[in-house]
Amino acid sequence: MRRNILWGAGFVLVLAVLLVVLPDLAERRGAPGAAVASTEKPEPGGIPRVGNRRDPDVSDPMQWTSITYAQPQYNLYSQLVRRGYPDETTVEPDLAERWDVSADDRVYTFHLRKNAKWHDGKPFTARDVEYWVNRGKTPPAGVLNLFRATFAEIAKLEVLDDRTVRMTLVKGRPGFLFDLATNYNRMAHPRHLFEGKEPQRPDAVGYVGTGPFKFKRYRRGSLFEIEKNPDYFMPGLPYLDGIQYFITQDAATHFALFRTGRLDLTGRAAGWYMTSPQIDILKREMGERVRFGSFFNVAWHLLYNPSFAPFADVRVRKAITLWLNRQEAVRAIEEGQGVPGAYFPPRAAYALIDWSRQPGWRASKEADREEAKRLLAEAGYKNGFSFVLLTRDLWVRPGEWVLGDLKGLGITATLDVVDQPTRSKRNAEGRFQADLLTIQGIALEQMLADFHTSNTTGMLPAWKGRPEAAHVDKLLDAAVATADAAERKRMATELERYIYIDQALVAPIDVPRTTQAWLDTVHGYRQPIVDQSVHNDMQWVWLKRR
Amino acid sequence: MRVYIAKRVLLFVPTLAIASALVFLVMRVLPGDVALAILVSRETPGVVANEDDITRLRAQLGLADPLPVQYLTWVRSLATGNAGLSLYTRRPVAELIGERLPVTLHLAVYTVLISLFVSIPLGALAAVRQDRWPDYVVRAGTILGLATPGFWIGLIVLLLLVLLFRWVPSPVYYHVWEDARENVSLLVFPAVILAWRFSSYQARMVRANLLEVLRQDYIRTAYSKGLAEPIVVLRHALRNAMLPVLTLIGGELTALMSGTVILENVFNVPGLGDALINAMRQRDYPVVENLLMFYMTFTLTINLVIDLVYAVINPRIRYAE
Repeated sequence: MRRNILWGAGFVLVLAVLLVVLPDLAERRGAPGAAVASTEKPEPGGIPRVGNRRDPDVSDPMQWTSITYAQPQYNLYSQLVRRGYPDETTVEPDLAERWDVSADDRVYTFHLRKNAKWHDGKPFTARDVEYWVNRGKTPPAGVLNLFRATFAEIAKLEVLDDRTVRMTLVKGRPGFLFDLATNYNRMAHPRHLFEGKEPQRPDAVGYVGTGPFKFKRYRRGSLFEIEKNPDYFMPGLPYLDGIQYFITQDAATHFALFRTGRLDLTGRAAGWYMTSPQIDILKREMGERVRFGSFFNVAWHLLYNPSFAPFADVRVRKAITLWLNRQEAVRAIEEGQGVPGAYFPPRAAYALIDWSRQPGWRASKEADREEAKRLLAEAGYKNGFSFVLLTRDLWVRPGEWVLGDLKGLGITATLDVVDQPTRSKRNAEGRFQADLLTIQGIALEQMLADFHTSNTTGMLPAWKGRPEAAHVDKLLDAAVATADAAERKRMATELERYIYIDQALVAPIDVPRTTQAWLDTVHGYRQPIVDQSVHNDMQWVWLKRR
Repeated sequence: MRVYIAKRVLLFVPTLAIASALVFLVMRVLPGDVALAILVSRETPGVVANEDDITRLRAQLGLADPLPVQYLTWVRSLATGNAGLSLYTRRPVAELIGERLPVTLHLAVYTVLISLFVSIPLGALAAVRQDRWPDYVVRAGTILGLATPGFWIGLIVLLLLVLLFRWVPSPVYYHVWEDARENVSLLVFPAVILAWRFSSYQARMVRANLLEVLRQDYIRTAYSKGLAEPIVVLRHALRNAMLPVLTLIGGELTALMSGTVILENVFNVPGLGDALINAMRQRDYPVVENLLMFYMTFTLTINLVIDLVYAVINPRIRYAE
């Protein structure tokens, strides 16, 4: 009997140890630090190990956009023109070393680099651009180009010589270069490997691109490895000998790998970013050996359907905008990693409204909440009303927060949780009362895609035919036709003010901030301003030897 | 025996036919549209898919055909040994199974070996020392093994490795013939965790069966002849007590083929279970359907093999011709 008691005590002891250890992960809180900019001379060589969420098992940038594939594979491919850094609303040369634009923004002539080569040694020429544009405009059977809107703008493409192509647009548009420079528009389709063999896949031909790195090997479920392209057209780049992307199926494993020094840089992807407790653990355990960098992710929004009577009334919508406690949302939903905001995230060129002073967004809630109650009563809903909030399976947490916060205003709601494809379809068909979704942008061109009612999967398809949406469409059409930078900024602000404040067509909840961690040996890593930019090219990264 | 085997193999055909129809129907009855799932997963704000895209993609994927046509196309391709292409990656499903199967088999073999190595001696020890401290220890350990979810132990093991040793296994999987050390260091933890559970079942089964056998007359006779306890237990009793354990091992192998997905994820083991869950998430019909058919064929085959091994181990068992 005594021995049994001893064994029992042993088990209890083991359990007690586990219970002491476990809260270590859950209780710590903190804010991310800032990314450290390096001013030292880059050292060539080295192969960093980077985390990747799951398998990058599809490969055509024309057809897929997930960061899972983009993070490792976009280093293999270049673009005609690329987004600038750190101002991502600007455009920089890539395969096109320069370009001319006609006065009416309709004719774009691109002059290609002379030294650009595909990874298999074949020269990159204007014929490759022609093939890529034609493939994008008229995808072969089995290929679906998600970026056809940009390609559809090109009415005519002329190959003037091996190094020059001219694109004539259907109509003049100053934002064409910005759209062309979207990170997804990667040239992963060498004409000599694709023509006559469509539908072809980049992985099936060995991921041949013109980018700073070449494909080395892919062990599904484990590793995607790339190596330095010695013939890269930018002299001196890349600095690294290669990169190993470790494929991780579980976020906790990903964190454990970084914590034990098996990763140099944590991966990018929702669920894989560092949480506040994880950041605190790393700071405590690794001290100065770890660096953190944050950027803004897509913002939570409450989208209304005006066919549900209460939401057709601007006073109700304004009441909800005023009522929501966004500081509390940041604490509850984002564990402190986020800010109250709207469409353009902080640091973006068009983020010109100081949301911290705006009624509804500001920290002081008392007056705003009184006004919210008054507006609701004035609209005839003194005792509140009930509605159903559509959301997807992974977004229950912010949905529940919205429900809880609105209770104080007398508005009760229930969650209708569906999978993402169903949510998206019901949104497009207008089969919802209110919908919880995420959205964000850094430019007018993105705002056009998100808010113009011609976009059936955008924010406002349910508002089509209503004067508020017609006004938004008119403002957007005018804004994207404007070339003047100052005027574009003014119009972006007007649009944001009209959508979010004057008409409260949607109610933003908060803008999450996501954090990556890397070892202090990693230098030159460029994080994007916002998650949607997918700005993760590694040619500027170098490793400092200890 | 040959006729018996032939009959059993022939019975595979109607079993698989019914199973294939069920799998096909269940996949189609589930809510959601694969074309929509693919398009939405591809979408980013500012990138737009519309009804035309959905229709076009459905046609491209062969989903616009009537269901009986789709089913017959699939069955025909199965019969010709062509498992089709993944709707997502457009890679052959057979290639995917070929990549993942060795990994899962590795894990399964390690698990079964460890569990047999542990469970048989412990089960026998518990039986011959019934109601004494070794028996209590084995019973407590097996109850804990059965009651604790493997994925939870997996996370705890990972956490303890980090906290105590500042070390976790490399996330890159190598086959044993490529790098035996890396292979073992990655698979040993999930294998031991899985083996704890399986050896708990087996040890309890060995203990119960052995206790029953030890009470048989022929065992008493063996003891009365003056044979030593180890000889009586190992040579006469244990062999007869092992038969039901064989059935358990068959079930374990089947479970290990598909049921280790969370542990696979925690330890970054790129096995079949992980592939199945990913395919289900993506509604990748050909992958899910063909993987399930693979599991069924595997289960039927394992059951047949176990039945045949019964006859080898126990000469009293004879299958009717």
